[in-house]
Amino acid sequence: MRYLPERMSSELLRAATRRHFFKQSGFGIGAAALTRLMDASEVNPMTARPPMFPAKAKSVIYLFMAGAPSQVDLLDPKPLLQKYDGQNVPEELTKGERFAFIKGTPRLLGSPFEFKRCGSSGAEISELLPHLKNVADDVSIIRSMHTTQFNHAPAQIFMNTGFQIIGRPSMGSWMTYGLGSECKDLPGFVVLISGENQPDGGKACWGAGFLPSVYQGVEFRSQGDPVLFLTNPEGVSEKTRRESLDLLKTLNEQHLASNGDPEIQTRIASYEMAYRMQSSVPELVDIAKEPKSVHELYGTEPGKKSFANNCLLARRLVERGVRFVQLYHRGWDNHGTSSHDDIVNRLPSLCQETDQAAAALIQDLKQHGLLDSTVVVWGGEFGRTPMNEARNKSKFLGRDHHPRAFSMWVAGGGFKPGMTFGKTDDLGYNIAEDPVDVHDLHATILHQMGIDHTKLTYKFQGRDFRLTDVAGNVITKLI
Amino acid sequence: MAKRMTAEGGASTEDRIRYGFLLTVSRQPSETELENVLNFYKEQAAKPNASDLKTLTLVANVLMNTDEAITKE
Repeated sequence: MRYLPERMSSELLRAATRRHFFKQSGFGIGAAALTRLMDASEVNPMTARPPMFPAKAKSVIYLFMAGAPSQVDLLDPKPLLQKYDGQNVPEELTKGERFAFIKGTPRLLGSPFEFKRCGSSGAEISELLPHLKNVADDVSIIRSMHTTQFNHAPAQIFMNTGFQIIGRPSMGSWMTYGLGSECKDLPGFVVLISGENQPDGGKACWGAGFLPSVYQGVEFRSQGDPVLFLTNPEGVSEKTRRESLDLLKTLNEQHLASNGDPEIQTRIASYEMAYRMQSSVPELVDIAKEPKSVHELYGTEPGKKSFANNCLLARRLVERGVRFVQLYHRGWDNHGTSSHDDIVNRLPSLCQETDQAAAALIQDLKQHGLLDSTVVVWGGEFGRTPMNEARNKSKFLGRDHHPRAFSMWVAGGGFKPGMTFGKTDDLGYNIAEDPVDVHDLHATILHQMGIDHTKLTYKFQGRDFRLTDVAGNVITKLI
Repeated sequence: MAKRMTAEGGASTEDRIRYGFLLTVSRQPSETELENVLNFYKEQAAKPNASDLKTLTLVANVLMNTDEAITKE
């Protein structure tokens, strides 16, 4: 390349850019995309579209417990694990197994927490989740989840996009791509974050992958103003703002017409959304106006960064017709290397941070008549080992990553309430009955939204892609 | 940028707008683009308390926010 005359090399470089491709390909892909865009240009890409068949649910609230909560301490009691606590794990279970941290032969670790049956369904829930117990008859516990990934980032990417490597669209993106959103003044896919830090998978967890980026999740800030710069600069009236945006839109549309890159369409839509959010967001985030009873139910404190505030915001978003709301709460990675990440101290504090608000969300949605039309999902990216990790002979109790079996719960949106689905073996190591993999979960949630997971596709690199790719079965026993 | 458009762009509003395009997207505006921006300028300049610099600031704000100015093509 460096020996080519300068002019030629710059032409070659130009030929390689995406925009140049769109412009030059004439009757090729650029023109095809352009035709499709021109048809759609009158329509907001987020306009609500009917589902493929009558849907049970209209919205999803996904409570992503990043870091991976321990199923054997929360939702899947194992009396035998307690009985054999401290003994070596049976060799046949771990033969050839590769762990993230455990070395040698680990010892079984019975849960130090008590489980009791609750509700008329008799669901078994840990003492660490007292509020969830109160809504046990509204949730379904899935004890037979499994995944292929045993490190946080790829596991979170897999749980969100159906593939362990970044680049595929997330579930929320597929949802808004398929159904649009019923709320035109707010993004159709909103992400709210609390807990120790950002999810390990990063922003790709709510990325649009190869779908037009108008469908990617929009992250609100978790502290202070959820969205910045909502007011116009001093001296700029709302009318002037609108007229400026009109000119900007005209110029961008002319650019789109000559160029055809769908990402320009995304930018136009995003400017218009930002304009509408100038009035819709202050109203949305003003949770102080909620009655005292609601704040007591959730444990919310306006202005504070908390999972509880985010749960209340999630209800307010769904109430306004937002399609997909995803909350992240990071911190469940309880390896037991210190008192800050063990199951005796840290796990109970995490439950305190989240239990009340998650249960409140279910009750509150129900009171607002929204639970039937909203799927609520709770869960992490994998489970935790039934064995103590004891990294570097740590005295703190903790568990390593465990992809073979873990628990999640779902509620509302046409899922059967008060059910405990699937079984693990006596030690909670492997699944014994009704396995549910990540694609099955996706297929089932899409089904509740009126989408056939095999038919919601997007052509990319010469083939049709879908959230479940070539796998996934709707778990009919759950719905 | 509005100050530069005034100081370096020339005497007429049209020339100043053309210079604004050069500064943001390194090219001359098309006839339609120039007309669109000029109309916007006239609309804003007719408002009470408007000044040339204020109005060119609004123009500069729009130009800097176009997809073409933001995106490397």
